[in-house]
Amino acid sequence: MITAQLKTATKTEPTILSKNKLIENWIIRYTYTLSNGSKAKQPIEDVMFRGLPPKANILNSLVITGSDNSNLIEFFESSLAVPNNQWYGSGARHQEELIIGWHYSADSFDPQLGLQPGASLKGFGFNSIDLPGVWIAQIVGNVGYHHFQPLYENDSDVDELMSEIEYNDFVPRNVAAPMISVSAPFDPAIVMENIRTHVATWPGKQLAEAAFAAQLDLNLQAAANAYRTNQPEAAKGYIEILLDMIRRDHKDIDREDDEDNDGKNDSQKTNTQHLTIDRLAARVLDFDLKYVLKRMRHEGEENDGKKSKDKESRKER
Amino acid sequence: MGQCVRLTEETKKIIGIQYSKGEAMSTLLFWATGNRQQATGNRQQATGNRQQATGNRQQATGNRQQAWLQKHRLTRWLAKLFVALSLVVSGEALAEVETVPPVQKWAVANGVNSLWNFNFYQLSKSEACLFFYNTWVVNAGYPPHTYIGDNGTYCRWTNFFDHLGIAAQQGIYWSKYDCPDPNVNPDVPYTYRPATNTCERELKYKLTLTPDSATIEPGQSYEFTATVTTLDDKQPGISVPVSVKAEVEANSGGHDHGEKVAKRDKGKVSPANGSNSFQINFTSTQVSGIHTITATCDQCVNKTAVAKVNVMVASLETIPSSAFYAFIGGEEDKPHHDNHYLTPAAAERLLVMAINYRSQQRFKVLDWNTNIRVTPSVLHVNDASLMWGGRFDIKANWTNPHITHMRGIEVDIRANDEVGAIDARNFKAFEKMLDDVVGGKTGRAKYLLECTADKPGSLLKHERKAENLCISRLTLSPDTNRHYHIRLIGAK
Ligand SMILES: [Zn+2]
Ligand SMILES: [Zn+2]
Repeated sequence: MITAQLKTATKTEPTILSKNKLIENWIIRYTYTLSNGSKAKQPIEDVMFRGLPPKANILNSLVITGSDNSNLIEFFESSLAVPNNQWYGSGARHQEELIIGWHYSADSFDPQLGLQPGASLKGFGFNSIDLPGVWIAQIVGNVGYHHFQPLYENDSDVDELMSEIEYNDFVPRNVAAPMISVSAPFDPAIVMENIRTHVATWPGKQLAEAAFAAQLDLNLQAAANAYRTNQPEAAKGYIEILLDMIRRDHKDIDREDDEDNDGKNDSQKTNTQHLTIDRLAARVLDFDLKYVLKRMRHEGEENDGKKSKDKESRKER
Repeated sequence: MGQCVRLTEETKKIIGIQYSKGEAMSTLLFWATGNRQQATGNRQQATGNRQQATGNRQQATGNRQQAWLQKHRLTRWLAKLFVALSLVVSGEALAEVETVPPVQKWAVANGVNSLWNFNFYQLSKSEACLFFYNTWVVNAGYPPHTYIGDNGTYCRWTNFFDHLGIAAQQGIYWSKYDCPDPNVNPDVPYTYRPATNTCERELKYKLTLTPDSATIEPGQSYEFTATVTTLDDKQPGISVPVSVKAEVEANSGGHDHGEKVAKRDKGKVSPANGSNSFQINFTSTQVSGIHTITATCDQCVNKTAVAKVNVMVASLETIPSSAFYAFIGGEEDKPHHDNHYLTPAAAERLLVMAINYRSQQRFKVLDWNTNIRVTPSVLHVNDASLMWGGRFDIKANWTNPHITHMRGIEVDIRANDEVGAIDARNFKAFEKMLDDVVGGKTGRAKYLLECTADKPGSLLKHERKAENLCISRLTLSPDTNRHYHIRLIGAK
């Protein structure tokens, strides 16, 4: 008989700020700033993105190939930026999901190690060619070493329940994550459809009101259709409507924040009013729509023999 | 009239002939058709008189019937009891008798030499008639006469005493009963029973056990069917007892314990006794191996029927060798020398795990001597599962198993102070890597840092401490058996 001792659930008060920036060659830099609440009872030791799309793109990963040229394994350690060498990135690509995350690099199970209460760290990040969507980061506090994990001969109900409890042993926070794939070669109709598919998940996650999301959906669909039928000006019109819709609740959403601000200022005033869309979701959608416009403009300039050196940055919370 | 009437013993006495077994006379000898008819008439009258007498008796019988029935029931019950008791006492099985109709054969005699040619029986009257004519009438050298043949009642030919006014001479038929050769199990002949005019022999049975082989997982059950039939595949008319037992092959299932006779639990069969056709439930133990179910039926010609049961976790394969890990344990002279079996999916996870461990910068640890961070030794893989899975009794005593290790989805990785062990400074990162690689949909890998499985509560018990050591509470000695026990993939 194996007895199991349930470890106490994570007791941290984390915030994580997401920022997306378009750098050269349509690469999007994802960066995150992690803070532990001043009243937290534990240091933070992990930030995990689980359940990302299995084909989500993370640049600069290292792939080991088997003798039959199949991808044996992909490492994300080299592709995940860390604030300092006390942290390391890791991940695994499975058939059903991509897992990436950052761990505090501890040589022991000392429960004092990690991002201390009240502290803040920036510099977590990676590059991707995928557009941001809203996903959940699992933030895990340091509870010392893992107690006895129950192991039964077969996955019994008890075992499943234990797994469920373990699974929920994190604090969830919304983050911008590479959820929306960009077709290669670039096809605005396909990308708009991908954005639309992702936005459709938002009402279920309380990221957008159902009625508002329905309006978003109509215009996303219209824009996708317009691109598909080769009416880029009409599509641009629908995207402008979408951008206006987002600005109704988040007027300063397209403001060029400086690096140190992380968009903290504008979150304050929105707290009091009724919101039709979550601020991070709004920022993400704003970024994605502008990416499409920018890329379409670039394609046009390419055709005219010009070259764009524009860079645009967006901050998401 | 022309039918052959089987003679009762009484009749035989009347006509004063001692018949050999199976022989009877078709009719009494009558030379003239007319005489015979008269005799038949006389007999009918006698029958009429008898019927009247029976009628008179019936009334009296009615009165006595009730009392008789009661008495008779008691008698029958006592008889049954006696049979039951004698069965218990003697232990002898009931036998069943197979009955087939005899074959009636025909011969002809002329009365005078009636017994002369009794051995020349033929299958039909007409054949018998011709045979008699050719062998007796013709060969006797009598003056010429003509064959007439069988008319259904007599065998006839022209009479050489024609001038005496008799138109034809005729032989009468005799018949006897022979038993046919058995189609099934011909070695045992039928015996003729005159009392019932039947051919009989003791019925033999055969026993089958279906299916004759099965593969089940350790601890699982399987239903076999024992069936007793007659040799011609009919249901027995009586209860034919069958006993069942389970056995196990020594050293089977990857347990090379060096036994001459298997000492392990043989599994359970239920019921252990039955009759005719019945289901047998075999329940295996958690130990894999080759079991046999033997059903025994003393009344059956084949005596036993055997079914083979492979108790095993199917589709386990030996872990492919790789530069990313090394195998330990399972030495040739050990009872469990093949200890590195996994499902292919679990083996693939092990490889991914091992590659991660060897390739991630995080796992480089500082060499105290050179002060350089060096790539760790490859993972040292100890026990996984046995060839057929099932209970992995480390001490070869059929008990004290590894925790799990039964289904080819778990493996032990050296994590003590020996060569190739995971460095304790890497434990935390190793556990986090497990979450990524084998954590499945929950993202939480299932593993244990195992210490020697001492008796619970013992002062010698090694326990995992926060500092990752299995320390004896008494001696404070480190645990040389410390290892990571890892579930590589979800069960089933
Ligand atoms: Zn064994
Ligand atoms: Zn183990």
